[in-house]
Amino acid sequence: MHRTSSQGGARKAIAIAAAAVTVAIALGGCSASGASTATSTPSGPSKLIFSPNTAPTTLDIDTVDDRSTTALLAPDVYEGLTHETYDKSGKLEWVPSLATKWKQIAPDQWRFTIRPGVKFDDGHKLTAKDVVYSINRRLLPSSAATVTLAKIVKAVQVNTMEVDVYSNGPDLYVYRAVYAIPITPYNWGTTNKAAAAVTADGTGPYTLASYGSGGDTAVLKKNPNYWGTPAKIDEVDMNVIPDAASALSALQTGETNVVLNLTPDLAATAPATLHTDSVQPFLGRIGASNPVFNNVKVRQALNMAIDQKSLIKNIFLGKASAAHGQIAPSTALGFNPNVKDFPYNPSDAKKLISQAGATGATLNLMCSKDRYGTAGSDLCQAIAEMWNKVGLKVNLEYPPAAQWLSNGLYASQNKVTPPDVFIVGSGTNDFDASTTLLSWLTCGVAKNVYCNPSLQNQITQASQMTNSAAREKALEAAAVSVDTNVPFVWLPLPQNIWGVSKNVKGVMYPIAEDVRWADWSITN
Amino acid sequence: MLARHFARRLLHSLGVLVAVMVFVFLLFFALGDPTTHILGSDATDAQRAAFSHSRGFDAPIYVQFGRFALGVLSLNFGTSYSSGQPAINDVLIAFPNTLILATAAFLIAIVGGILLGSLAAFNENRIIDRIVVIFGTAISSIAEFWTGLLLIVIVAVTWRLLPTAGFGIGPPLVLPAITMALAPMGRLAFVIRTNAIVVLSSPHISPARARGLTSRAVFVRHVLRNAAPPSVAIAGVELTRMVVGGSVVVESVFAWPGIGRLLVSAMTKYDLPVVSAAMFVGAVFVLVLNLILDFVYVALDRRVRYE
Repeated sequence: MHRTSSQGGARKAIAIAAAAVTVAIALGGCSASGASTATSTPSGPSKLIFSPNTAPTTLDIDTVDDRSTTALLAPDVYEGLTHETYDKSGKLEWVPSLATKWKQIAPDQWRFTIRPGVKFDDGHKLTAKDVVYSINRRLLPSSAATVTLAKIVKAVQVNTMEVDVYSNGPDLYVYRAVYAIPITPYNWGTTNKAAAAVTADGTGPYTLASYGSGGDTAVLKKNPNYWGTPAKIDEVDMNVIPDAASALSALQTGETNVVLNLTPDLAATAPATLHTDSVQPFLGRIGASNPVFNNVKVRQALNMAIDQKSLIKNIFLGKASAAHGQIAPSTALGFNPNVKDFPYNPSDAKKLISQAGATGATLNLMCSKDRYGTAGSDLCQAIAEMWNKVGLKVNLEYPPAAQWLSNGLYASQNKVTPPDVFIVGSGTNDFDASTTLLSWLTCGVAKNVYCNPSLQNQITQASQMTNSAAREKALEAAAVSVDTNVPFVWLPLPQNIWGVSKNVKGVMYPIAEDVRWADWSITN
Repeated sequence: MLARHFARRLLHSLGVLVAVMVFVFLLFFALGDPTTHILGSDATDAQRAAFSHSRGFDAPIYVQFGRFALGVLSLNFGTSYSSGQPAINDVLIAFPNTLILATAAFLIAIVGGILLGSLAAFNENRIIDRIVVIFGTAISSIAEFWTGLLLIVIVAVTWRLLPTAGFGIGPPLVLPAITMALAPMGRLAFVIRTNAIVVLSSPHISPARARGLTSRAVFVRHVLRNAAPPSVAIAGVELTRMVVGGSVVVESVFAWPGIGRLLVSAMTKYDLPVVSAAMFVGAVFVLVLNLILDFVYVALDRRVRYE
């Protein structure tokens, strides 16, 4: 009896404490439900929230090649000399931005005329000095951003409103490449490095109003002094959500309006999606150091054993397209519409392998477990099975990222035997097929495992041509030669997929982070 | 005696810190030149060589280690490879955020653990006890990642009561704190329950009640006091886990800008300065916490003495 009484008192104390915790949680919940609005109100300013999965490493944009920094700032805060858009037929074109006009004055020299009357957020006028500084700073060896500029070597001031940009050889498309160079004020990030990492001073349709929580949140406000067409949305907020499933939940509750970089499986559950072909098809780099795979018949067989349609349907859930036997996407110079993927024909593949005496040969296949998400790792499982079926013995390896790079991508440089097939996503950032082709097929470079001097020579010659039509024709011919020599296994070209609210309209580009929020709209 | 004990523990802690830092450096060196991770697969050979040289990644290991060691000794861990900013700044911004989350989770775990453990002990072998045991086992076995997503789907997406992610003392703190607290709460409940049962069945409880002590007094003076020393030891371990372990998962799921997320991000970017600064701060926290717990344990249990 006494014990019962004691228990009753303790229970009461416990119950009171439990109730207190419950009430505290409930109170928190009540205030939250009203706090997380994402869309515009009928009378208030319009607002769009986007969620990348990583925070910008820095806002000092010319020192990094960072997707989140780009999605936040370029070209909405920091504009380039040109900007990309789609013409009426849906084809990419580059139109004036901070440059009003440009002309090629030598095979390796382009002159840009700077737009007059443009002001930075701090009020000072844009001049050639700012442009030259920004381009050259991005080209510094210590800048990770230099990787985005394969051909540009320097910028030189001609006068206060003209700039010459030089390339390391004849280049027809400098005006395209410069769209990706954000123009910052002169000495930005040099005189006050710390400030440049957390603030912004651009010329674009938005200004950076705030940046906080260790880079997790940022607010862009419409720039009232913008020189061009004003942005459609008054405010664009960035709210980083690292976990894709959590980000999708936030999209469903309306806490965010745009989730960047969804995998095909998660995209299926988003309220709506936007997608566009990326510029990085998957490809299998075939190593020629193993005599078995130095045989063109075996390399053809590897391609013929791949069921592209099945990969696109089952691995990428339809969010991919065929690579058409070439690295260059259809938007790039050098894409040859006449080159097709090898037909899926496992029985002929088996025959070719048998004719080459390779039946039962071991194929070391190296893939990255996490670099390309679930689709990337599933892709390797699927193609390993396809090659096993045509008589090869596939040894599939998913090394840690460091080994994937050192023993796979850069095996030749590190003097280790490269895997027979190395799966990687690779493409062209400057919309010219020659850059990427040469990075893989130039004999002796770190990524090269297939050396064919005549093929290399053909691509190099094409890349040196100064006449646009001739260059295009030569690159298309090079695409045929590449297809004939089969240094790669062609795999699907995945799409960039963004999850969006149903009330959001926007445009995506082949490099998805080049988004221009000023062109987006949101309705109630 | 106390001073000697303190000095010995301090020396021991310094040894641990040095070992942690050497381990971090060697691990990173074994992973190779960070250039390949920072510039990506499309960089040209010339770009990689120039970048590597400009950052000093091509220097011999002893030069790089000397640079690293001098930096650590002066608490200057260098500039982040990716952001170009002092690494310690990033860590000092993120660490308080983790402490906020871990403190909230710790309080929930302590209160919940005591409540559940006591409830079970006072109802030993009854249905409430069994429910608590099953519930405790369940919450301490489910992975935090899964718990977090379940809470998001139920509480945030279906009921729309709380935000799915975010940062701040208020609504955004509730779900991550509960997620982080559940497993430790289950484990603490078991410890409290076991100790409370022992105390409640000990011979001095009946005389105490006979003296007219209320059940609340019995609970506070006898049950809690006797269960406290082992619970403090477990709670210390749980707090350590929350700050340097649980935060990695929970902060990623709930977009909480703490040291766990910073560490994951830095690891994926092979950012040695940030990783070493984060590991240093985490290790210092664990060592200081252990030192404090030593004293608390002795204060709570008079049978324990410094040697």
